[in-house]
Amino acid sequence: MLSYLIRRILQSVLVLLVVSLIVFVVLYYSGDPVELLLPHDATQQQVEEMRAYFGLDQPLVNQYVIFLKNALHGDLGRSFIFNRPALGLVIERLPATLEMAFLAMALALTLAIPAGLISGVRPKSWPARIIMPSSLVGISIPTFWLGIMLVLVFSVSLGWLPSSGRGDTVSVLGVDLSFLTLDGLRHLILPAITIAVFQLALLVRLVRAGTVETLLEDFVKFLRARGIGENRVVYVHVLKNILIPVVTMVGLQLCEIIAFSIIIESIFAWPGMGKLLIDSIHNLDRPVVVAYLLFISLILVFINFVVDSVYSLLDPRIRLR
Amino acid sequence: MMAMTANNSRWLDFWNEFRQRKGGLVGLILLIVLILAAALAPLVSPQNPYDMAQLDLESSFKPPQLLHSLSYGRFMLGSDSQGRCVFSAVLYGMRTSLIVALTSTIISVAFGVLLGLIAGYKGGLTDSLIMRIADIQFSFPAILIGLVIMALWGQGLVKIIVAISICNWVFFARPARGSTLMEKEKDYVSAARLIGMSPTRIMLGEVLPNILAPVIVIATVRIANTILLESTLSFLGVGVPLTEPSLGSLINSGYKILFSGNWWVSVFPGVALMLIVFSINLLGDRLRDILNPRLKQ
Amino acid sequence: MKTRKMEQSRKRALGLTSRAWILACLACLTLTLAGPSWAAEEKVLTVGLSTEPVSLDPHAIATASVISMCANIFDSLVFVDEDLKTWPGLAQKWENTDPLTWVFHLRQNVKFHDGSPFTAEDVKFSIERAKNWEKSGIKSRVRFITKVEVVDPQTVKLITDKPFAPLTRFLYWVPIMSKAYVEAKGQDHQATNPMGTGSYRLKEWIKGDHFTLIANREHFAGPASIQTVKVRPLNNNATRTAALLSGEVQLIDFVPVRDTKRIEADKKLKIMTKPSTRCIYIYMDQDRVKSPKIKGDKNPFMDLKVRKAVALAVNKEALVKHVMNGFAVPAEQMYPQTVTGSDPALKGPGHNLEEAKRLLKEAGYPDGFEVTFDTTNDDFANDDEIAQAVASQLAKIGIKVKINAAPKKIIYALQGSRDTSFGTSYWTSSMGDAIRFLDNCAHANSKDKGLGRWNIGGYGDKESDALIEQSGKSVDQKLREQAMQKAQQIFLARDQAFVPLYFPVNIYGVSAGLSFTPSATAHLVYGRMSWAK
Repeated sequence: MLSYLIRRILQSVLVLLVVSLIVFVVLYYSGDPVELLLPHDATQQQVEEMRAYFGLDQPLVNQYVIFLKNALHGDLGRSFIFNRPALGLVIERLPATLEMAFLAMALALTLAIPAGLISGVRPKSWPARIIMPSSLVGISIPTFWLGIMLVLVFSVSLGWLPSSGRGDTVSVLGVDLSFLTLDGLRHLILPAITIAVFQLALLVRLVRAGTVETLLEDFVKFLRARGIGENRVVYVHVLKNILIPVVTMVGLQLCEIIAFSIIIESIFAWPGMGKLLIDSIHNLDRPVVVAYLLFISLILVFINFVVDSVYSLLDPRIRLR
Repeated sequence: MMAMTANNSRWLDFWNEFRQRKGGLVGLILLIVLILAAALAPLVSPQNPYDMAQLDLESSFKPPQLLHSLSYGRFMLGSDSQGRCVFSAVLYGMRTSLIVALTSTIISVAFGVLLGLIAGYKGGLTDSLIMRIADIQFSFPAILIGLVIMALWGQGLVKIIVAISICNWVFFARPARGSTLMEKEKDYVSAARLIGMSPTRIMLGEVLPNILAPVIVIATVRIANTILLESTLSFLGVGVPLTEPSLGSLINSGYKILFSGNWWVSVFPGVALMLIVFSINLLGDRLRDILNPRLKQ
Repeated sequence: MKTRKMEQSRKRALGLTSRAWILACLACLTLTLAGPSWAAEEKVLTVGLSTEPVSLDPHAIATASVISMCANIFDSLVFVDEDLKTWPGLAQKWENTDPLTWVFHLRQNVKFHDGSPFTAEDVKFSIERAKNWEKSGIKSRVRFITKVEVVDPQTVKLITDKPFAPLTRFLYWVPIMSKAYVEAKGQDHQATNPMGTGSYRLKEWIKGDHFTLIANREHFAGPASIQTVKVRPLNNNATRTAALLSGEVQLIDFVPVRDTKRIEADKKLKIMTKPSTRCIYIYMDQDRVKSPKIKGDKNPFMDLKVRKAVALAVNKEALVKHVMNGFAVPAEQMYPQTVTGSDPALKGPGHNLEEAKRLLKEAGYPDGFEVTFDTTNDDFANDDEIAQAVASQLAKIGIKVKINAAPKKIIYALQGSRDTSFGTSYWTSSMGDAIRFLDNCAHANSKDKGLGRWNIGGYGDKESDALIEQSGKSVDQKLREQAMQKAQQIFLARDQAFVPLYFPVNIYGVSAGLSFTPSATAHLVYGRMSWAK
């Protein structure tokens, strides 16, 4: 277990090095942040002074070495634009993104498991006949398109829900949360639903497939033969069996949602990390881009680790190596 | 000769089973129609939407002509801000979307399978190296990788194909390696090795054909995801360039004018996108059902 | 609103108790029933901005969004009104004792938000900070000021390096900070904790979500009519319009030109416009035989006839009507009539395809040529659509234009290093004087003189340069105006160095209950807004 963890971390450090190097090289060649920071009427001298101030006049190799040196001391640099520590900027946006991701996932899971079980156990029943085709539509709708349509219907035409922003927040242990206020919850609904639809459809299909396969397993026949009630067979034994793929999928999809938040956040003006990344890339704000990518890699590695651990708890046959 | 007939009857069986359910058939027919429309776009579309000399600002934002008369022709689905026929733009956009999806899937299948083969066949250090890279990449969502690559690298048709291929190869490397590991143990491989065939020939000539079936099924399903990935990137403005818009970039340009009342500019590309993905998913579902022997009772 | 605030603070005090959970559960239940009605309890003005100000340090990054926001928190010595006329700000009056010396008499009894008095020392400190601080983005706006002298706490003397008539206009763009505050808190503290004398003070800034401004009761011009202003960055155009339509915000800037009909159809909303001082223009690389983005080894743009043909082929009226939906004014010259230095008599060549084709043939390009057109796609309204429309217009005289539409991070770098042959750029004469355009875009590039850095096409003409330099060092407005008009006669009417396209109109979507006059500076000054009775 411990060696597994250490290896994962070493792997990630390697990834982080490669990622930061690539970002450095590519951003170096994709434009000049100083042109964006200064107005067009800045003089050539002013441009050169600012370039020197940010160290952008140095050769690329020197810039990278300086970055590595500072990074070793936990300093990922200051944002060119905001003039604040880059890592702080990213972390400050984390709660908003995680809040939306967790809510969407919770929404998807609570609906997907019963829906999937029903359509797996009784494929010919009328709920199954609605659920399965809808799930196929659900995985075919482009998420960004769904978000736009929801805004058009629920914010603009009906005026029921706000279309953008986070609303009122409550500070819990220094972290601002939206879902504890009425206004915040109203702001959360549309973005969370937009993300949840695809996840819901995906999970329903997974649960259904798992149920159908598990019901064919010998142990189910065995349980039935022993006279155990059908409900107990399905909701205890079968459910326990299909939880393994579901946990894996939830972990993977949680990563997916965090990445997808980039799109959702720009449609709903949600002040999370994804929006910061897009803005920073457009502003060539290298310290923030690097800090975001390093930080998100850590989160993804962490989620994967948790998934693997839960996995091994649920299925004792699997050992983490 | 014997093998041929055996093969033929296998296909025939497959087809007989396939057509029993309506869903798969509908998906197949829909997909064929859409692919044909996209492939023949230069012949069937009323206008070449990207020939600058054919555009005229005077005919911008014409509402869909189909609302007035049911006839095939220019502006049947309306026109956009440049006076471009939306129907033609959708056909060409579908073309771009499908070209990107197909080419990048072919590339990622080729690379993924090759690397999976090598990893599975060679084992040892090569195996761990390739699979560790795959592991690492697997923990990063494709959309994030694609977005970062494209946002840093800039728009471009070739660029997005490369970027998506980089995102997708792992999906094929893993199953390819798994199948290779199983095939490696079989007698025909040992026999080939005994008669002195080179590893390359064994891998490509003997092992590859036997692991191709599962890979093809995965590829079908991946294409739907790839189309969505490409359209999402293009929607964000980091995908294909303005001069060769895909369905995603058409939706984006319609999204910009969502409240202007010119709904047709974003609605029709969106419908086309959904239809393509839906038909592929329908087809993929059916294929998976048929090819999963465990579900046959 | 009050009760909501109280509820919040109570919740904060209790922490995450069962009560909060019950509340959350209740919230879930009543969610859909609640509706949007409670948004209008108090007359808080909520504004949706197209760009989030990245910093609130008024000297750091001089983007329009930063300056606009800072104009509410800080004051300047001189104010400009909606039509760019100057009037007294922190300085009550001013005079020239000689062409190089300006004496400013400061307003008495002005206080910063922290209660400390505003004095001449703060003026001296602010101008010197703008000039010398390494991160200052507004150095170019004070570079001609060589010395700031404090005569007494209420009087400041500015010395310039040359007679410079537009000085007072430039001073509007130099907000005054508190010397004591900046020195006590440090330079980097200012980006997030601004403190000035302005009509609002910053209450909170949740990055990416909103700013809250509270009216400064002590402001010298009297407290603002609207107590609380919430400013939300909504940089996605459709999101911004949606927020206005759904009543979440009462004012948005940069309304997409095609959303105006939808907004006007709503009785609770109105569209307000103000012609901007921005000119969108086409530049052409014209001083080198080998141009980076032109196919072939000749540069057609070096030939005046080709440049004239381009100007004749572009149909500005069609661009304005169809791409800008009428929200722009076709440009015959580089600045609108409100700007000093514009020429009421100057007319463009008009739109004439036959004449354009004839000129192209005479120049030796009967079949046109191939060139790449560089345009931004995330900068000004409809930038990439304009490029496409221009390309299709030029295709009609045989010039094959390939469009390279990219984010401004890429295009600015291309234009700054002149790795481009053809494309669109823009200039905003927001100070109401043509001199900044002339200095930066029309004068030949000269690093020593600090001129012509944004002259992308590489145009240069001795006579025109001399006129530009002359207009930059004179206090006689009449003379300056004539020199600037003469210069434009040369580089535009005679040499067609640029093709001016149009002056966009700034469009605001406004709640019908808000009274507000848009300004030609495009700054949103909340202190001058009020709720209609």
